[in-house]
Amino acid sequence: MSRWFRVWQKKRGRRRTGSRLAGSVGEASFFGLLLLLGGVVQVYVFIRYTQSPSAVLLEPPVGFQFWLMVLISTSFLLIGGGGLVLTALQTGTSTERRAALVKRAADIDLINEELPSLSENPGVPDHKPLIDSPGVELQYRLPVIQTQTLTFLATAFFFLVCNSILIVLLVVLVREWMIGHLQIALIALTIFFGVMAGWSGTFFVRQVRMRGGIGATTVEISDHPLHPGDSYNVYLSQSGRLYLQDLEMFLVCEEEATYRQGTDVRTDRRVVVEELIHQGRNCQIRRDHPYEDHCPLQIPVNTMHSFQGKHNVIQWKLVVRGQGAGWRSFERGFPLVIAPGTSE
Amino acid sequence: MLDPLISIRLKEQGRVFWPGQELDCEYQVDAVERSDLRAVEASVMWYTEGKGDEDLGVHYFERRVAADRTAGDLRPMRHFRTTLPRTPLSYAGVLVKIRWCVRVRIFLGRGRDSFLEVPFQLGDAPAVYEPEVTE
Repeated sequence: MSRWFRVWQKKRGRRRTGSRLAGSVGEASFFGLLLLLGGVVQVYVFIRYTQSPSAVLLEPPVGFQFWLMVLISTSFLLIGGGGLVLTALQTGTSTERRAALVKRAADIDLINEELPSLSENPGVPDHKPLIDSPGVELQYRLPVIQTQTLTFLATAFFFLVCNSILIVLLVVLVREWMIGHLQIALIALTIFFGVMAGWSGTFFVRQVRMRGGIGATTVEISDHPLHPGDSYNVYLSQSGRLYLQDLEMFLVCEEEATYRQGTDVRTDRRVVVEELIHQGRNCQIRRDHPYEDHCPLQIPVNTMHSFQGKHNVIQWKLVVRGQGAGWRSFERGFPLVIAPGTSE
Repeated sequence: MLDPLISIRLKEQGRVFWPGQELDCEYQVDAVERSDLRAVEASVMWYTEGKGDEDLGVHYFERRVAADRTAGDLRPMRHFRTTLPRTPLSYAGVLVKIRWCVRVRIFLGRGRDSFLEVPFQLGDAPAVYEPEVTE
C-alpha cells in the first residue's frame, strides 16, 4: 500500500496502488453529495411551487423549467441513493463472499424451480439450445452462427440512403436547369452521390447474388454435447448454384475476451485450435443436386471443454469454408459444446 | 508493525488435482493480535486472467467472525476439505487463462484486510500457445 496520498493511482495487474478504504470513502462521499444535492434541489423546487401565487389559486406552474428541475433532482436522488447503497454493500465484503452469496442464491432458485442443477458442470455453457432441431441424416442439426446478415442489412440500408439522396438531388438539379439557374456546388454534390450510389449498388448486388447463389449450409452431428476422447459422425450439405474449388470443414476453438478500455467495451477473439476434418475439391453444386458428404470427428482426449464466463469465453465450433471464384467464397460457423466426459 | 502472517497447506497432495478429488487443506493466521483479527474467510475458487475482465467462481466458502465465537480467537490452525468440481478445468490459453486457488482473506481493525492464495491445477487441459506467423 502506498504511504503517500496520490491523486492519480495505477492498476498493476490485479493490484491497485491506492488504499481500498480511501477509495470506498471517496466513492461514498461522491454519491452522498449527489443524494444531498438532489434532496436540496427538490425541496427548493417544491417550496418555490407552494409559495407561488398560482398555487393558492390551484393553478400549478407546470412549466418546462419546473418539470426539468424535478427530473434532474430525482435523477440525482436515484443515482446518489443507489450508489450509496451499492457502496455500503461492497465495503468490507470480499469478492469471494459476494460470489458465494450469488452462487447460493442461484442454487436456491434452481431448487425452487425443480430444474436440473447447472452446477454439475460449472462454467460449461448449456447445450440444450443446440439440440432442439433434429437432423435428417444424423441425430441433431446444428444452428448456424449468423455473421453475414448484419453486413447485408447495413449494405441494403446504405444503398437505399445513397439512392434516395441522389434522386432528390437529381429532381432539384433538373428544376434548376429548367429555370436556367444551375449551381456548380449542386452539380458536384450530385456527381459525388452518383458515385456513392453506383459503388453501394455494386456492393449490394454482390451481396444479393451471394445470398441467392450460395444456398444454405447444413451440418448435422450424431451426438451432442461432445466429450473428449469420443468419436462422432458429421454430415455436411451445401446447396445453391455454384462451383467451389474447395469446400472445407474445420474444428475450431476460439477464445473471446471482453474488456473495458476507458469508457468503451471491447471484445477480442483469437482462434487457438484449427483442425481440418473434411475437404472436398472441385464441387459443382446445382439447385437439384446439393453437395453432401459424411466425415468422422474425433475429439482428442485432453481437450479443453467449452467455457462461458461473463467476460471470457472458450467456444468450439465447426467452420465451413467454401472457396470459389470472385464473390463465391464464404465462411459459416456452427457452435458446439464440449463437456467433460461422464466417466470422470 | 509486522504484517500478519497467513499460512496455507494443501495436505499430503501435490499441486495437480482431478475433478471429483477431495482437497484437504489447513490454514493458520499468525503475527496478529487476537483482538485485531475480526474475520477470516477461506475459499476454494477459480478466476480468469488474461485480456478480458476477471470472471470468478467460488466452489467452497467459509467465513468465521470473531464476534460469533465464544473463544473469539480465529488464529489457530483450521482444517477443511471439499470435493473438487468437474469444471472449469485449469487452462492457459492465449486470451483466456483459468486459475484455481485456495484463498484465505483476513479482516483486521480499521477496515484493513490481507489475503494469501495458494494456486493449484485442476485437470490436465493442455496449454495453448499463439501460433507463430510464418511468411
